[in-house]
Amino acid sequence: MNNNQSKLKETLLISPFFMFYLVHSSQTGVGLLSFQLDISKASGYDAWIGLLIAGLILQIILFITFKLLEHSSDGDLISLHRDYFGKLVGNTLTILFCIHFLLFLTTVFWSYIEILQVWAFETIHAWEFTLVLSIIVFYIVIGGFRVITGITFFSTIIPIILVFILIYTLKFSHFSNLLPVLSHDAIDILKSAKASTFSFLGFEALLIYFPFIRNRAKGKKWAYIGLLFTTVSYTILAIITFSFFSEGQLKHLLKPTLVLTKIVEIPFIERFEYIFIFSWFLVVLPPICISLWSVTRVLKSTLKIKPSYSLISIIILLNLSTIIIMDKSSIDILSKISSEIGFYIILVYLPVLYIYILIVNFFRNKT
Amino acid sequence: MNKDLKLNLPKYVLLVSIIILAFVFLMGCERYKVVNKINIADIIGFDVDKENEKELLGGTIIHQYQSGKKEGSPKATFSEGDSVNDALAGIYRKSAFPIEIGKTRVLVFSEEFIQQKSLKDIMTTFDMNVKFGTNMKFIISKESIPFFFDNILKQEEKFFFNLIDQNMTNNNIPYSNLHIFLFDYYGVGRDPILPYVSIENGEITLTNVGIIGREDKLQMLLGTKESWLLKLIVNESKQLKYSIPIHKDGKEGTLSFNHVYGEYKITTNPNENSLKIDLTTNSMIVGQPHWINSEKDHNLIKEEVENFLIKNYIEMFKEFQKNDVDPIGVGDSFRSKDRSWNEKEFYKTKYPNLDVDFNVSFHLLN
Repeated sequence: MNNNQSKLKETLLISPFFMFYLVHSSQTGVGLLSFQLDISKASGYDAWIGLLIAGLILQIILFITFKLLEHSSDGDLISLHRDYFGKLVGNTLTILFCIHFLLFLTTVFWSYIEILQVWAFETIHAWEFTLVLSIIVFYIVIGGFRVITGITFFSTIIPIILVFILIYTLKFSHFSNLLPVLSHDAIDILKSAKASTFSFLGFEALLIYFPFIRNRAKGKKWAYIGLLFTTVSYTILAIITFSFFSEGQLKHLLKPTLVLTKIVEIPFIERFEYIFIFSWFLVVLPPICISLWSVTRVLKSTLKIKPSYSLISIIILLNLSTIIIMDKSSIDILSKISSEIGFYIILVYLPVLYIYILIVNFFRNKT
Repeated sequence: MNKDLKLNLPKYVLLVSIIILAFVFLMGCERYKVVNKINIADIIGFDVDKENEKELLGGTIIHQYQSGKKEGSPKATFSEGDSVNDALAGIYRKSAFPIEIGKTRVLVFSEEFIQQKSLKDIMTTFDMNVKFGTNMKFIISKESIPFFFDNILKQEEKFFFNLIDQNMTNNNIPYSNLHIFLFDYYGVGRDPILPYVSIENGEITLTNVGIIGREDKLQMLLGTKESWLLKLIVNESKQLKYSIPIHKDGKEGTLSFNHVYGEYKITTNPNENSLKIDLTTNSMIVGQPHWINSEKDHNLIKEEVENFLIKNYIEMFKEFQKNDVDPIGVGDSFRSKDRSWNEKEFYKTKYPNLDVDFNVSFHLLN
């Protein structure tokens, strides 16, 4: 679909400018609280270079994603799969893609609940949090895509206030921690870049929601800016964390960003991290809501399941899974599986799909 | 499409949601913490256990806010155990109410404890337990913890924390807290410094600074003069009061200053194995002998202060080299410039033979 206009009703569409908030806030979630640990495992304090590399590669992937969508009849992945693989295979592929969203949203959801349990309310069971939070998530997702977009706007704006606390950490910073730059070899830095992909996951949901953007060409521009903003924010946070903690100290921490906020001491707020943790719910909401919405939309287009039914079913499943499976090790396993799958979907599947489509188009044009 | 997404919420879903929410709120009421049903730990201390053969002796000073008692009347409780948590559990067993550790302001270790036991296992407790605040102060006590706590209980509430805080902000003790300690403790090329408290004539005083060496033991104790000298080159924005001797026309006296602000810069050169420290201090004169006129004798004062500081810094640094401690972070500075830097090798071969140069620039503000 090469034109810039959507086939959807005008009242359902959103301004292209909101692509910025959608892309950025779908990427920032619980990963932001502990990504410094994962990325520094391979290349120590050179890992911030890995982040920049990952951000750059993802800009290319984003370009490929938009190219892919140009070949679809409705401007989304569902129609693309259907156009090039037929109804049965195409729909199956889309549903498999959906599993990635389900794993992703469960990881984010569980990780946030774990933080609430460990940091704030030890005695409250996970299922209680899940129940309360899922009611909020249900309420937002049932409101439709425009409501979700509204939430992403606020979840980008409100945490910016929290950025000021980073200034507070500067008097304890040792920027010489980052020196000597490039003390690790290229392979280690690339390993860090790979480890950082989980923090960047979430933006692939645009494959599903892109038809909802009013002016596609402008929307693309804002998507690139959104991704750039995420990359820059991550890099700044990584550099501030690395200069705040010594390398040996960082290894002993579980959630570096939260420990970073513990240093803030204001006469009327002794423990600032609690405010930070609870405000973080706004940051965690968009990735959960966008993924959940994407799943319901895919199920509607492929299996013709009414979104309200699929939404309620997924939320019930989420609650049941929290009661039955959730613990520290299952969160770790899930997050590992989810980030691996996400990595291969974004960096392998999408480029391969694009090459496949180019080949198919080449032969179609010939015949 | 729109209708599907913005579905008309069936009434029973709304009803079920309201019922669930009501249950959640009701359950929330079941778990509450009221201040007169908890004991708040103010100071936690660890010592060697001499009576039983356990690993350590833990003690806390808790504040009791129960009705009928004078608000906040503190009380000390002790228990021995094989680990930090074991000892704390022993203390909990002796308490009528749950002890909340989140408001702990000071953590004290007796000198004997630091010399005999490894801090490593203890520090992991403080890494893992997110309840402890990062701004918690971390102190070494010359006396045993039970004796030390007895003396603290004689003072008014919050006395000890304010004593440390005041001395770190305005006086000669280098600023530190749990974060700064852990930064130095787990970091390479630097040794952590901790305030050292003693009881002299029944008064709790904070005059010295202890340095924990790489062997995880208290390796060196700095006196009052060395403490403020060190503070000038590790905490640039903190204030402090200091005095130096002055000589003029065969007379000898003392000049007193308030260091208001300053700057320091550590420059290292791995190739030449050299260290250069540039220090600028902007001070106000607060006391002088009658035969000194701070306007006329400005140059003399400047010269005396600079010479005094340089001489004492060089002496202090020689002591650091002799005791194999690095509270300034010279090793870390070398690490940041040398890709092949190795901690063990650096302190064995290079650190004792460093070519050291101190440069002091003194500015009188009044």
